[in-house]
Amino acid sequence: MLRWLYIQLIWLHPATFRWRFGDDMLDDFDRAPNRARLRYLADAVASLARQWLLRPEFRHPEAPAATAEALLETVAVPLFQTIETYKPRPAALLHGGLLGILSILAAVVLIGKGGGAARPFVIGAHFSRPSLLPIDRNSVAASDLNTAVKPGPDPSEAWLKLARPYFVSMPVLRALDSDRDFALSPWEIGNAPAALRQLDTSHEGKVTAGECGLHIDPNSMPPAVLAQLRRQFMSYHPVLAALDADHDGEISAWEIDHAAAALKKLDRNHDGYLTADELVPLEMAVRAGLR
Amino acid sequence: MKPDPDDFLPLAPATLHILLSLAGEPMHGYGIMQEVLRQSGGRYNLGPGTLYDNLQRLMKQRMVEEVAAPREEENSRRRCYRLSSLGRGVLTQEITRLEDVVHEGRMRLRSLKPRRA
Repeated sequence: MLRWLYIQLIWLHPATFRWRFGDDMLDDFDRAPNRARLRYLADAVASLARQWLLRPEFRHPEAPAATAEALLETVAVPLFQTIETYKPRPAALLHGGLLGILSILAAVVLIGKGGGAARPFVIGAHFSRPSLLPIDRNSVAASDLNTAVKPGPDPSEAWLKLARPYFVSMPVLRALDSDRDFALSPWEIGNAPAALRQLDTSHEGKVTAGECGLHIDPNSMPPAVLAQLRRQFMSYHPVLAALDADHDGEISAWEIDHAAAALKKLDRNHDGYLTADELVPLEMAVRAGLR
Repeated sequence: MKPDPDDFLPLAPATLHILLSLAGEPMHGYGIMQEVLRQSGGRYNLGPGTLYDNLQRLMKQRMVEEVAAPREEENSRRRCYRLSSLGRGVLTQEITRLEDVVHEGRMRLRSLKPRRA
Protein backbone atom coordinates (compact mmCIF):
# COMPACT_ATOMS: atom_id res chain seq x y z
CA MET A 1 0.00 0.00 0.00
CA LEU A 2 2.78 2.43 0.98
CA ARG A 3 4.70 1.50 -2.15
CA TRP A 4 1.62 2.12 -4.31
CA LEU A 5 1.16 5.53 -2.65
CA TYR A 6 4.84 6.34 -3.20
CA ILE A 7 4.56 5.43 -6.90
CA GLN A 8 1.53 7.74 -7.21
CA LEU A 9 3.51 10.55 -5.60
CA ILE A 10 6.41 10.00 -8.03
CA TRP A 11 3.92 9.98 -10.88
CA LEU A 12 2.60 13.38 -9.79
CA HIS A 13 6.05 14.97 -10.14
CA PRO A 14 6.81 17.02 -13.29
CA ALA A 15 7.63 14.77 -16.24
CA THR A 16 11.28 15.89 -16.58
CA PHE A 17 11.97 15.09 -12.93
CA ARG A 18 10.06 11.82 -13.11
CA TRP A 19 11.92 10.61 -16.20
CA ARG A 20 15.28 11.38 -14.69
CA PHE A 21 14.89 10.42 -11.03
CA GLY A 22 11.65 8.41 -10.73
CA ASP A 23 13.32 5.00 -11.04
CA ASP A 24 16.04 5.86 -8.54
CA MET A 25 13.48 7.25 -6.06
CA LEU A 26 11.50 4.03 -6.19
CA ASP A 27 14.67 1.97 -5.91
CA ASP A 28 15.67 3.95 -2.79
CA PHE A 29 12.20 3.38 -1.35
CA ASP A 30 12.49 -0.37 -1.93
CA ARG A 31 15.90 -0.47 -0.25
CA ALA A 32 14.76 1.55 2.76
CA PRO A 33 13.81 -0.27 5.99
CA ASN A 34 10.10 -0.36 6.80
CA ARG A 35 10.40 2.18 9.59
CA ALA A 36 11.81 4.77 7.16
CA ARG A 37 9.10 4.38 4.53
CA LEU A 38 6.57 6.76 6.11
CA ARG A 39 9.28 9.40 6.30
CA TYR A 40 10.08 8.81 2.63
CA LEU A 41 6.40 9.34 1.80
CA ALA A 42 6.39 12.68 3.63
CA ASP A 43 9.64 13.58 1.87
CA ALA A 44 8.06 12.79 -1.52
CA VAL A 45 5.10 15.06 -0.69
CA ALA A 46 7.52 17.88 0.19
CA SER A 47 9.49 17.23 -3.00
CA LEU A 48 6.26 17.33 -5.01
CA ALA A 49 5.37 20.74 -3.58
CA ARG A 50 8.92 22.01 -4.20
CA GLN A 51 8.97 20.81 -7.80
CA TRP A 52 5.64 22.37 -8.73
CA LEU A 53 5.93 25.58 -6.70
CA LEU A 54 9.62 26.43 -6.66
CA ARG A 55 11.17 24.81 -9.75
CA PRO A 56 9.30 26.09 -12.81
CA GLU A 57 12.60 26.35 -14.74
CA PHE A 58 13.14 22.57 -14.60
CA ARG A 59 9.82 21.54 -16.12
CA HIS A 60 11.10 21.70 -19.69
CA PRO A 61 13.98 19.45 -20.66
CA GLU A 62 17.04 21.38 -21.76
CA ALA A 63 19.27 20.38 -24.64
CA PRO A 64 22.27 18.47 -23.31
CA ALA A 65 25.66 20.10 -23.68
CA ALA A 66 27.35 18.04 -26.36
CA THR A 67 30.99 18.65 -25.58
CA ALA A 68 33.40 15.90 -26.54
CA GLU A 69 34.54 15.57 -22.93
CA ALA A 70 31.00 15.19 -21.62
CA LEU A 71 30.24 12.59 -24.26
CA LEU A 72 33.32 10.58 -23.36
CA GLU A 73 32.49 10.74 -19.67
CA THR A 74 28.93 9.60 -20.15
CA VAL A 75 29.78 6.97 -22.74
CA ALA A 76 27.94 4.28 -20.82
CA VAL A 77 24.91 6.46 -20.13
CA PRO A 78 22.18 6.32 -22.78
CA LEU A 79 22.07 9.61 -24.66
CA PHE A 80 18.49 9.24 -25.80
CA GLN A 81 15.18 9.56 -24.09
CA THR A 82 11.98 7.73 -24.87
CA ILE A 83 8.62 9.41 -24.79
CA GLU A 84 6.26 7.80 -22.34
CA THR A 85 3.22 6.23 -23.94
CA TYR A 86 0.53 5.61 -21.41
CA LYS A 87 -1.77 2.78 -22.31
CA PRO A 88 -4.55 1.82 -19.92
CA ARG A 89 -4.69 -1.84 -18.85
CA PRO A 90 -7.13 -4.02 -20.85
CA ALA A 91 -8.94 -4.88 -17.61
CA ALA A 92 -9.44 -1.18 -16.89
CA LEU A 93 -10.87 -0.67 -20.38
CA LEU A 94 -13.26 -3.61 -19.89
CA HIS A 95 -14.43 -2.33 -16.50
CA GLY A 96 -14.90 1.16 -17.91
CA GLY A 97 -16.93 -0.17 -20.85
CA LEU A 98 -19.16 -2.29 -18.59
CA LEU A 99 -19.71 0.63 -16.23
CA GLY A 100 -20.70 2.84 -19.15
CA ILE A 101 -23.20 0.29 -20.49
CA LEU A 102 -24.70 -0.21 -17.01
CA SER A 103 -25.06 3.55 -16.55
CA ILE A 104 -26.86 3.91 -19.88
CA LEU A 105 -29.17 0.95 -19.08
CA ALA A 106 -29.99 2.43 -15.68
CA ALA A 107 -30.84 5.79 -17.29
CA VAL A 108 -33.05 4.08 -19.92
CA VAL A 109 -34.95 2.06 -17.27
CA LEU A 110 -35.42 5.15 -15.10
CA ILE A 111 -36.84 7.18 -17.99
CA GLY A 112 -39.04 4.25 -19.17
CA LYS A 113 -40.66 3.91 -15.74
CA GLY A 114 -41.39 7.62 -15.57
CA GLY A 115 -39.28 8.11 -12.54
CA GLY A 116 -40.86 5.30 -10.49
CA ALA A 117 -39.36 5.14 -7.05
CA ALA A 118 -36.75 7.66 -8.05
CA ARG A 119 -39.33 10.25 -9.10
CA PRO A 120 -37.83 13.07 -7.01
CA PHE A 121 -34.74 12.85 -9.18
CA VAL A 122 -36.62 13.27 -12.48
CA ILE A 123 -36.85 16.91 -13.51
CA GLY A 124 -40.14 18.15 -15.03
CA ALA A 125 -43.85 17.32 -14.65
CA HIS A 126 -44.80 13.79 -15.59
CA PHE A 127 -48.54 14.11 -14.79
CA SER A 128 -50.76 17.02 -15.81
CA ARG A 129 -51.57 19.55 -13.14
CA PRO A 130 -54.46 22.03 -13.01
CA SER A 131 -51.86 24.73 -13.35
CA LEU A 132 -51.08 23.47 -16.87
CA LEU A 133 -53.79 25.07 -19.02
CA PRO A 134 -55.08 23.04 -22.00
CA ILE A 135 -54.55 24.69 -25.39
CA ASP A 136 -57.58 25.12 -27.60
CA ARG A 137 -56.33 24.22 -31.07
CA ASN A 138 -59.74 24.53 -32.82
CA SER A 139 -59.13 28.13 -33.77
CA VAL A 140 -55.77 27.23 -35.25
CA ALA A 141 -57.18 24.38 -37.33
CA ALA A 142 -59.99 26.52 -38.76
CA SER A 143 -57.88 29.45 -39.75
CA ASP A 144 -55.96 29.63 -42.99
CA LEU A 145 -52.23 29.58 -42.44
CA ASN A 146 -51.36 32.20 -44.96
CA THR A 147 -48.68 34.06 -43.08
CA ALA A 148 -45.66 34.54 -45.28
CA VAL A 149 -42.21 35.03 -43.78
CA LYS A 150 -40.13 37.36 -45.87
CA PRO A 151 -36.45 37.43 -45.07
CA GLY A 152 -34.92 40.88 -44.78
CA PRO A 153 -32.20 42.05 -47.11
CA ASP A 154 -28.95 40.16 -46.68
CA PRO A 155 -26.51 42.68 -45.18
CA SER A 156 -23.52 41.06 -46.82
CA GLU A 157 -25.25 41.30 -50.20
CA ALA A 158 -25.94 44.99 -49.57
CA TRP A 159 -22.26 45.58 -48.74
CA LEU A 160 -21.25 43.71 -51.85
CA LYS A 161 -23.57 45.87 -53.94
CA LEU A 162 -21.83 48.93 -52.56
CA ALA A 163 -18.36 47.43 -52.89
CA ARG A 164 -18.57 46.45 -56.58
CA PRO A 165 -18.62 49.95 -58.08
CA TYR A 166 -16.31 51.25 -55.36
CA PHE A 167 -13.61 48.65 -56.04
CA VAL A 168 -13.94 49.26 -59.80
CA SER A 169 -13.54 53.02 -59.39
CA MET A 170 -10.47 52.75 -57.13
CA PRO A 171 -7.23 51.81 -58.94
CA VAL A 172 -5.53 50.91 -55.65
CA LEU A 173 -8.29 48.45 -54.67
CA ARG A 174 -8.35 47.05 -58.21
CA ALA A 175 -4.62 46.41 -57.98
CA LEU A 176 -4.80 44.90 -54.51
CA ASP A 177 -7.88 42.70 -55.09
CA SER A 178 -6.24 40.30 -57.52
CA ASP A 179 -8.99 37.63 -57.34
CA ARG A 180 -11.80 40.20 -57.82
CA ASP A 181 -13.89 39.02 -54.87
CA PHE A 182 -14.24 42.56 -53.47
CA ALA A 183 -12.34 41.67 -50.33
CA LEU A 184 -8.64 41.58 -49.54
CA SER A 185 -7.38 38.23 -48.33
CA PRO A 186 -4.27 37.84 -46.11
CA TRP A 187 -2.27 36.87 -49.19
CA GLU A 188 -3.44 39.98 -51.08
CA ILE A 189 -2.57 42.12 -48.07
CA GLY A 190 0.90 40.55 -47.92
CA ASN A 191 1.33 41.12 -51.64
CA ALA A 192 0.31 44.80 -51.34
CA PRO A 193 3.82 46.29 -51.92
CA ALA A 194 4.17 44.45 -55.24
CA ALA A 195 0.64 45.38 -56.30
CA LEU A 196 1.20 49.05 -55.46
CA ARG A 197 4.46 49.17 -57.40
CA GLN A 198 2.51 48.16 -60.50
CA LEU A 199 0.47 51.36 -60.09
CA ASP A 200 3.63 53.48 -60.26
CA THR A 201 3.38 54.11 -63.98
CA SER A 202 5.69 57.16 -63.80
CA HIS A 203 8.41 54.98 -62.18
CA GLU A 204 9.14 57.57 -59.50
CA GLY A 205 9.20 54.96 -56.75
CA LYS A 206 5.97 56.31 -55.26
CA VAL A 207 2.25 56.23 -56.01
CA THR A 208 0.74 59.68 -56.47
CA ALA A 209 -2.85 60.75 -55.82
CA GLY A 210 -3.38 60.82 -59.58
CA GLU A 211 -2.26 57.19 -59.84
CA CYS A 212 -4.64 56.44 -56.97
CA GLY A 213 -7.61 57.75 -58.97
CA LEU A 214 -7.73 61.52 -58.48
CA HIS A 215 -8.11 62.93 -61.99
CA ILE A 216 -7.56 66.69 -61.92
CA ASP A 217 -5.69 68.88 -64.35
CA PRO A 218 -2.75 70.27 -62.30
CA ASN A 219 -2.89 73.54 -64.27
CA SER A 220 -6.50 74.19 -63.40
CA MET A 221 -5.86 75.39 -59.86
CA PRO A 222 -3.11 76.85 -57.65
CA PRO A 223 -0.54 74.32 -56.36
CA ALA A 224 -1.50 74.86 -52.70
CA VAL A 225 -5.17 74.11 -53.40
CA LEU A 226 -4.14 71.09 -55.49
CA ALA A 227 -1.98 69.74 -52.66
CA GLN A 228 -4.85 70.26 -50.20
CA LEU A 229 -7.23 68.44 -52.55
CA ARG A 230 -4.81 65.55 -52.91
CA ARG A 231 -4.52 65.21 -49.14
CA GLN A 232 -8.32 65.31 -48.75
CA PHE A 233 -8.74 62.65 -51.42
CA MET A 234 -6.20 60.38 -49.78
CA SER A 235 -7.71 60.82 -46.32
CA TYR A 236 -11.30 60.27 -47.51
CA HIS A 237 -10.74 56.67 -48.60
CA PRO A 238 -9.79 54.38 -45.69
CA VAL A 239 -7.44 52.26 -47.78
CA LEU A 240 -5.54 55.32 -49.07
CA ALA A 241 -5.51 56.95 -45.64
CA ALA A 242 -3.97 53.81 -44.18
CA LEU A 243 -1.34 53.57 -46.91
CA ASP A 244 -0.43 57.28 -46.86
CA ALA A 245 0.90 57.10 -43.31
CA ASP A 246 2.40 60.60 -43.25
CA HIS A 247 -0.69 62.13 -44.92
CA ASP A 248 1.29 64.04 -47.54
CA GLY A 249 -1.05 63.10 -50.38
CA GLU A 250 1.02 60.29 -51.93
CA ILE A 251 2.25 56.81 -51.07
CA SER A 252 6.03 57.01 -50.75
CA ALA A 253 8.52 54.20 -51.36
CA TRP A 254 8.78 53.55 -47.59
CA GLU A 255 5.00 53.51 -47.30
CA ILE A 256 4.84 51.03 -50.21
CA ASP A 257 7.31 48.75 -48.42
CA HIS A 258 5.21 48.88 -45.25
CA ALA A 259 1.85 48.65 -47.02
CA ALA A 260 0.91 45.23 -45.60
CA ALA A 261 1.33 46.36 -42.01
CA ALA A 262 -0.60 49.56 -42.73
CA LEU A 263 -3.49 47.65 -44.31
CA LYS A 264 -3.71 45.24 -41.37
CA LYS A 265 -4.66 48.20 -39.19
CA LEU A 266 -7.96 48.42 -41.10
CA ASP A 267 -8.92 44.88 -40.05
CA ARG A 268 -11.34 45.84 -37.31
CA ASN A 269 -12.64 42.32 -36.60
CA HIS A 270 -9.14 40.79 -36.76
CA ASP A 271 -10.21 38.00 -39.10
CA GLY A 272 -7.26 38.62 -41.42
CA TYR A 273 -9.51 39.77 -44.29
CA LEU A 274 -10.42 43.30 -45.34
CA THR A 275 -14.05 43.28 -46.42
CA ALA A 276 -16.27 46.00 -47.86
CA ASP A 277 -17.48 47.18 -44.45
CA GLU A 278 -13.84 47.86 -43.53
CA LEU A 279 -12.85 49.49 -46.84
CA VAL A 280 -15.80 51.60 -47.99
CA PRO A 281 -15.74 55.21 -46.68
CA LEU A 282 -18.11 55.83 -43.79
CA GLU A 283 -20.04 58.55 -45.66
CA MET A 284 -20.79 56.16 -48.53
CA ALA A 285 -21.98 53.47 -46.12
CA VAL A 286 -24.20 55.93 -44.27
CA ARG A 287 -25.69 57.13 -47.54
CA ALA A 288 -26.41 53.53 -48.54
CA GLY A 289 -28.16 52.95 -45.20
CA LEU A 290 -25.59 50.42 -44.05
CA ARG A 291 -24.37 52.42 -41.06
CA MET B 1 32.09 33.00 -18.72
CA LYS B 2 33.12 30.70 -15.88
CA PRO B 3 30.87 31.13 -12.82
CA ASP B 4 32.46 32.35 -9.59
CA PRO B 5 32.19 29.78 -6.74
CA ASP B 6 31.50 32.63 -4.30
CA ASP B 7 28.20 33.32 -6.09
CA PHE B 8 26.78 30.06 -4.74
CA LEU B 9 27.63 30.70 -1.08
CA PRO B 10 26.43 30.12 1.56
CA LEU B 11 25.23 26.59 0.86
CA ALA B 12 22.09 25.09 2.34
CA PRO B 13 22.75 22.15 4.72
CA ALA B 14 21.41 19.57 2.25
CA THR B 15 23.57 20.96 -0.56
CA LEU B 16 26.66 21.03 1.65
CA HIS B 17 26.19 17.42 2.72
CA ILE B 18 25.57 16.22 -0.84
CA LEU B 19 28.68 17.98 -2.17
CA LEU B 20 30.67 16.66 0.76
CA SER B 21 29.58 13.09 0.15
CA LEU B 22 30.53 13.40 -3.52
CA ALA B 23 33.97 14.83 -2.69
CA GLY B 24 35.42 11.29 -2.81
CA GLU B 25 34.44 8.92 -5.55
CA PRO B 26 31.31 8.97 -7.73
CA MET B 27 28.18 7.71 -6.00
CA HIS B 28 24.61 6.84 -6.80
CA GLY B 29 21.65 8.39 -4.98
CA TYR B 30 21.24 5.74 -2.30
CA GLY B 31 24.98 5.85 -1.60
CA ILE B 32 24.80 9.63 -1.14
CA MET B 33 21.95 9.24 1.37
CA GLN B 34 23.94 6.66 3.36
CA GLU B 35 27.06 8.82 3.27
CA VAL B 36 25.16 11.90 4.46
CA LEU B 37 23.73 9.83 7.32
CA ARG B 38 27.22 8.65 8.24
CA GLN B 39 28.80 12.14 8.01
CA SER B 40 26.18 13.67 10.26
CA GLY B 41 26.37 10.90 12.84
CA GLY B 42 22.80 9.84 12.05
CA ARG B 43 21.37 13.32 12.65
CA TYR B 44 20.69 14.29 9.05
CA ASN B 45 18.53 11.77 7.28
CA LEU B 46 18.11 12.88 3.69
CA GLY B 47 15.02 11.58 1.86
CA PRO B 48 15.08 10.65 -1.85
CA GLY B 49 12.78 13.55 -2.81
CA THR B 50 15.07 16.12 -1.17
CA LEU B 51 18.18 14.43 -2.55
CA TYR B 52 17.10 14.29 -6.19
CA ASP B 53 15.57 17.76 -6.06
CA ASN B 54 18.97 19.06 -4.92
CA LEU B 55 20.86 16.94 -7.44
CA GLN B 56 18.68 18.30 -10.24
CA ARG B 57 19.52 21.86 -9.19
CA LEU B 58 23.23 21.11 -8.70
CA MET B 59 23.46 19.54 -12.15
CA LYS B 60 21.72 22.55 -13.66
CA GLN B 61 24.30 24.78 -11.92
CA ARG B 62 27.03 22.46 -13.24
CA MET B 63 28.37 21.66 -9.77
CA VAL B 64 27.58 17.96 -10.12
CA GLU B 65 27.92 15.75 -13.19
CA GLU B 66 26.37 12.45 -14.08
CA VAL B 67 28.97 9.80 -14.91
CA ALA B 68 29.06 6.21 -16.06
CA ALA B 69 28.58 3.65 -13.28
CA PRO B 70 31.76 2.10 -11.86
CA ARG B 71 32.79 -1.28 -13.31
CA GLU B 72 31.43 -3.27 -10.34
CA GLU B 73 28.03 -1.63 -10.76
CA GLU B 74 27.81 -1.78 -14.53
CA ASN B 75 24.67 -3.92 -14.47
CA SER B 76 22.89 -1.50 -12.17
CA ARG B 77 20.33 0.86 -13.72
CA ARG B 78 21.21 3.53 -11.19
CA ARG B 79 22.78 6.80 -12.23
CA CYS B 80 26.05 7.89 -10.64
CA TYR B 81 27.14 11.41 -9.83
CA ARG B 82 30.42 13.15 -9.13
CA LEU B 83 31.64 16.65 -8.27
CA SER B 84 32.64 18.87 -11.16
CA SER B 85 35.57 21.26 -10.87
CA LEU B 86 33.10 24.06 -10.15
CA GLY B 87 31.44 21.96 -7.44
CA ARG B 88 34.84 21.25 -5.89
CA GLY B 89 35.63 24.99 -5.93
CA VAL B 90 32.31 25.86 -4.31
CA LEU B 91 32.80 23.19 -1.63
CA THR B 92 36.32 24.48 -0.89
CA GLN B 93 35.08 28.05 -0.56
CA GLU B 94 32.21 26.95 1.67
CA ILE B 95 34.55 25.02 3.97
CA THR B 96 36.83 28.09 4.22
CA ARG B 97 33.78 30.22 5.02
CA LEU B 98 32.67 27.76 7.69
CA GLU B 99 36.18 27.71 9.18
CA ASP B 100 36.00 31.49 9.49
CA VAL B 101 32.58 31.20 11.13
CA VAL B 102 33.91 28.60 13.58
CA HIS B 103 36.97 30.74 14.35
CA GLU B 104 34.84 33.83 14.91
CA GLY B 105 32.42 31.82 17.04
CA ARG B 106 35.21 30.48 19.25
CA MET B 107 36.65 33.98 19.74
CA ARG B 108 33.26 35.37 20.75
CA LEU B 109 32.51 32.51 23.11
CA ARG B 110 35.95 32.85 24.72
CA SER B 111 35.35 36.54 25.42
CA LEU B 112 31.98 35.67 27.04
CA LYS B 113 33.54 33.29 29.57
CA PRO B 114 33.03 34.52 33.18
CA ARG B 115 36.16 36.06 34.62
CA ARG B 116 37.50 34.93 37.96
CA ALA B 117 37.12 37.42 40.72
